[in-house]
Amino acid sequence: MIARMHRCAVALALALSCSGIVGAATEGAPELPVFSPEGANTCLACHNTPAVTGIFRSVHSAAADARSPFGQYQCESCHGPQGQHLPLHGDAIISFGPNAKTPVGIQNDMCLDCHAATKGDWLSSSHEAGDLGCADCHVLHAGRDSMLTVTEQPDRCYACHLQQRGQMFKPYVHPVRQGKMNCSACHDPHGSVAEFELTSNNLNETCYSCHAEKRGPFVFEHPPAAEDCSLCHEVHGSNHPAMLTKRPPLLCQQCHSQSGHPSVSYTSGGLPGGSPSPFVLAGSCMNCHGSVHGSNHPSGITLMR
Amino acid sequence: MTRAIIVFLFLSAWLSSEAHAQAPAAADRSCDRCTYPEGWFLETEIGGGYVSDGAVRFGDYTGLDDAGGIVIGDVAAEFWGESGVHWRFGGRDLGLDSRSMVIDGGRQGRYGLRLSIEQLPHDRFEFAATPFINPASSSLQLPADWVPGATTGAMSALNQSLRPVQIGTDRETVGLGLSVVPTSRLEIDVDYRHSTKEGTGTYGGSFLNTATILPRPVDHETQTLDAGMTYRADDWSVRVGYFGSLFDNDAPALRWENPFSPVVPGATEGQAALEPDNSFHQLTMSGQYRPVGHTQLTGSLAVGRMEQDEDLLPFTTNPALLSMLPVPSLDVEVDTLQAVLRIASRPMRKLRLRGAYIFDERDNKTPSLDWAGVIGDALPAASRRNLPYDYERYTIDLEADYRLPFGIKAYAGWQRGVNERAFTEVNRSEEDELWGRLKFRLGHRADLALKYVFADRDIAGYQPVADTQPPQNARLRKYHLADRERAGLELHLALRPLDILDFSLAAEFMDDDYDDSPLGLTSAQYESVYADASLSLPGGIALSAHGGYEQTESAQRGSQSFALSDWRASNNDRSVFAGAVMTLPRWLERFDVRLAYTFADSAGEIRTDTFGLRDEFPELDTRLHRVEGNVDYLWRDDLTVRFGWIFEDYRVDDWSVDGVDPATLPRVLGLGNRWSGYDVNVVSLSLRYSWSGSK
Repeated sequence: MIARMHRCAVALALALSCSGIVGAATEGAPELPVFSPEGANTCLACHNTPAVTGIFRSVHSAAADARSPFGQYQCESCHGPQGQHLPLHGDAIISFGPNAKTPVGIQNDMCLDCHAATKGDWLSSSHEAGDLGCADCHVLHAGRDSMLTVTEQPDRCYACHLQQRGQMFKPYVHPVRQGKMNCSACHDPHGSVAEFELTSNNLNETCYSCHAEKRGPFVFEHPPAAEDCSLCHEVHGSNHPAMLTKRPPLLCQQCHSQSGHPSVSYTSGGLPGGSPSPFVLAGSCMNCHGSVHGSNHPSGITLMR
Repeated sequence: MTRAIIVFLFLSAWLSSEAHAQAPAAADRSCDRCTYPEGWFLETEIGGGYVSDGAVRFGDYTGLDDAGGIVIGDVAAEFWGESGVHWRFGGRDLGLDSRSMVIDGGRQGRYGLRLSIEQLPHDRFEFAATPFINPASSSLQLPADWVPGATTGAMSALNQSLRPVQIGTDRETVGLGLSVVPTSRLEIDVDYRHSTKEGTGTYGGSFLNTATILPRPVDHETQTLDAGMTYRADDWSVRVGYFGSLFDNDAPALRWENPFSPVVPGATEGQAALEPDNSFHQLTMSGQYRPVGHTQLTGSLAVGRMEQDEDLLPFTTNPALLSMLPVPSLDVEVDTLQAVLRIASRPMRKLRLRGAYIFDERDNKTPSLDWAGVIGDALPAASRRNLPYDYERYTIDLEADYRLPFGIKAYAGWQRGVNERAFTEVNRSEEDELWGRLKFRLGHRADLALKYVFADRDIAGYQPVADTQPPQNARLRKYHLADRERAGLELHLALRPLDILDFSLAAEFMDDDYDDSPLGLTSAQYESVYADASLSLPGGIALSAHGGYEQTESAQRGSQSFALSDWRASNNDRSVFAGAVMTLPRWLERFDVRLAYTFADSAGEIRTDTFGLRDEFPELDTRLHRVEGNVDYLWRDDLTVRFGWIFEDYRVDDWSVDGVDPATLPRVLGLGNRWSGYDVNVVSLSLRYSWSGSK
C-alpha cells in the first residue's frame, strides 16, 4: 500500500507536469503532493452528485476489499493525493475520460496499478497503441458499466469500430444485434496472446468454444476448415447463408478444379425456369457433400458421408 | 441444470461459513459521507405484448417467432451486505424462449460465485417440408406407401407425403463460476459450462447421382472447464491453468431410407457419420514481467490435445458391398502447441516499441490407413488413405510508434508469417507485411489517422497432392496457398467541431492480387465507408445517425476442359446500412422517449463468362426496415409505465431457394426450404418498478 501511495503521488506530479499546471515551478524532482487526512470525506464535501456517488454501487467502493480503491486511499487511490486541490483555484487532480486533461498514459497507469495482471496484455494491445484510455470505454462511477453487459457493450465498441455496426445488420450474422452475444465473447479488448486479440489461442479455438462439434478431429479432414474458419466464413456478417464469404458453388470452386462437375461453369440456366441444377440450387455442393467440416465415416473421403 | 444449481448452493453455503468469513483488512479511514449501499435493491419490468405476425426470421435468436401474446419479464436485484458482501440476480426476456438468468456475487476480495442460464433459439427457415415421417430421428423413415422414383418427378406419393418440418435448434447453457482470493496476491478461478443444442438441422445425403436434403437430428452436449490459478507479485504475475472441453453427440449417425429408386441393387438405405464425440484438453501457463517501469514481457505456453475415437460405421449399409473395416475405431489425435512471447516497451517518453513471436502448431498424430470405401453406399471406390493434415506456423511482429511535434504520431510495423503444412499443395509459404500509419491530432477537435499496408506472400512451389483423386487441375492455386500481393489503405477521422457535435468517419480499401493463379481466385477487392454523427442538445436530448457502404468484389477462373482457363466468374457483394436514434428525456416533464430507425440492404451479383458467353444471375437481395421505440411515462419516482413498439419490414430475393420446391430438382429431393419477407409489429405495455430496501 505504501508503494501504491508513492506511485499515486508520483503519477499526480507527472500529470501536473504534463498538463503544464506546475511544470515551470518545479525545478528538479517534483514535490510530492500530500494525501488528504480526511480522505473521501473531503472530496465528497464538494463532489456529491449522483455522477460521482454512483461509484458506491460498484466494485471499486468495497472498503472490505484491500485491493479495491476504497480499501486503500478511497478517491485518492485513483485520482491521486489531494495536495493543494481546493475549490476554484487549486491544483488539478488525475482525471479520467476522453476529454480529461490528464494524459491517457497516466490515466491508464492508475488502472494498471491494480489490473495489469488481470486485464490481458494491455501494453501489447492495439487499443493501447491507439492511445485509448480505460475510461474511454468503462464507466466507473456507476453501478453498471455498460462495457460489462451483453446488450450495451457492442454500441460502445461501435463508437470506434464503425464497420462492425453496419456488418451486424447483414442478413447472416451472429446474434449480436439481438443482444445475445457481445464483442468480448470472441475478443479481449485488453490484449491477448492471439491474433485479432481473440479470447482463445487462435481463431479456430475461439470458434470451437461455441461450435465444439466442428472441432473433430475427423478421420477425413477438410484441411481449410481445420486450419482457419475464416477461409470460408465471414464472422462479422455476410450476405450469404451460414455466413459464407461467397455463394457456392463458386466458393468451393476456388479450391476444387477436378475434371467433371467441380470444374463446370454453372450459370443462371440452372435456376428454376431453366434446367434446375443441383450444383446451383438449395445447398449447391452441400447437397451431396454434407460433411463439409470433415467426415468420420470410413467412406467419407469425399465428405459425402 | 439441477446439478449446477445444487453445486452452486453448496458452494454458496460453504464459502459463507465462518471459516471463510474473515474480514479483510479494512481501510484505515472512516468516511461519513460515503453512501455505501446496504440491503436490497430491485428493478423489475413486467408486462405483456402482442406480435402481429409469425415470422421465423424475425424470431431468430429472440423467441418472437409466433404471432400472439408475449410476456415481458426483466428483473435486476442486488443485495449489498457488510464486509464486501454483494449478490446480484438478473433475469432478461424471462417470458421468451431467449431468456437468460444470472446469480453472481460473493464477498469481494475473498470469493465470488456465478450461476448463469441462457437459452438461445435459432430458427433457420420460414418453411420446409419432408416426406420422412420422423424428422430429426437418427433413422429417417419414409411413409409405408412411398413410391420410389428415378427422379423426384416420378415419386408419385411425394406431394401427399410432404409434411412441414421446423429446421432450427435451441441452445441452453448453464454456467457455474467460482473465484477464490486466499491472499491479495493469489486468485483461483474455475468456470464450468454445460451447453446443450437440440433440434433439427439439414444434411445432404447422396447416392452417387441422387441426393436428399435430410432433416437430421441435432442433439449436442458440450461441457467446458476453465480453471486457473494466478499469482501476482509487484513486478510479475503468472497464471497456470487448465481448459477442457468435452463434446458429446447423442446422434452420431444418420440413417435414412432412399426415396429414389436404387441406383444399384441394395442402395435402398444410406448412413452418414455425424459429428463424433470429441475432447480437447489444454494446459496453459502465462506470465508477465515488468523489469522496469514501461517495459513488459509477456509469455504464454499452451499445450493441448484434441482427440476422438468414435466407433466407426460400416463402409456401407448396402449388403452387396459390405467389407471389413481396417479398425473398429481410429484414434484420431491432434496435439496443439502455442507459444507466444511479447515485449512492449517505452524506452523514451515519445517512443514505444512492441515485438512478438507467435508459434502455433497442429501436430496430427492420427494413423494414416488405407480405406476401401464405398461411394454413396452404391459404388466401390479405390482404396484411399486418410491424410493426417497438420501445420506449423509462426509470426514475428515488430512495431514502433513515435510522437512527433505538432500532434503527429507515426507508427510503423513489419510482420513476417511462415506457414508449413503437411499433405497440401504448398509445403511452405512466407508472407511479409509492412505498414505505416500517421495520426494527426488537431487539438481536442480533430483526429485523423491514415494507414497503408502492403503484404507479399510467396510460396515454395505448388505441387498437387498425389493422394487427391481425381487429381486437381495443375493450374489451380488454392487462394490460401497462393502467391498474393495485398495493398490496403485505411482512414479514420474523428471531428468534434462543437462540444455538442461529434462526427466519425472510417474508410478502408483492400486489394488482393493473386498474380500467379491461372485458375482459382485471381483477385479480390474490399472497400467500405462508414460514418457516425451524434448531437447532444440541451435537456439531455440526443440525436445520432450512422450509415455506411461496403463492397467486396472478387474474380476467379475455372477450366471445364481441365486445361487452360475457359471460364471466369465475378462476385460483387454490396451492403448499405443507415440508422438514426433520438432520445428525448423528461419530455413534458414525465416522458422519456427513445426512437430508432435502421435500414439495411444487401445485394449480390454473380456474373460468368464461359467460352465468351456472358451470363448473369438474378440479384441476391435483402432489405430491412426496422423502427423501434419506447415511451416511458414516469408515473412515480419508483414506477414507470413503458409503451414499446417494434416494426420490422424484411424482404428477400434469393435464387438458390426461391421457387425451389422439394421436387424442383429432378435428382435432389429438397426441403423446399425458403426465407420469406415479412411485416411484423410488436407492441407492448409494461410496468417498471424500482424498490430500495437500503438501510
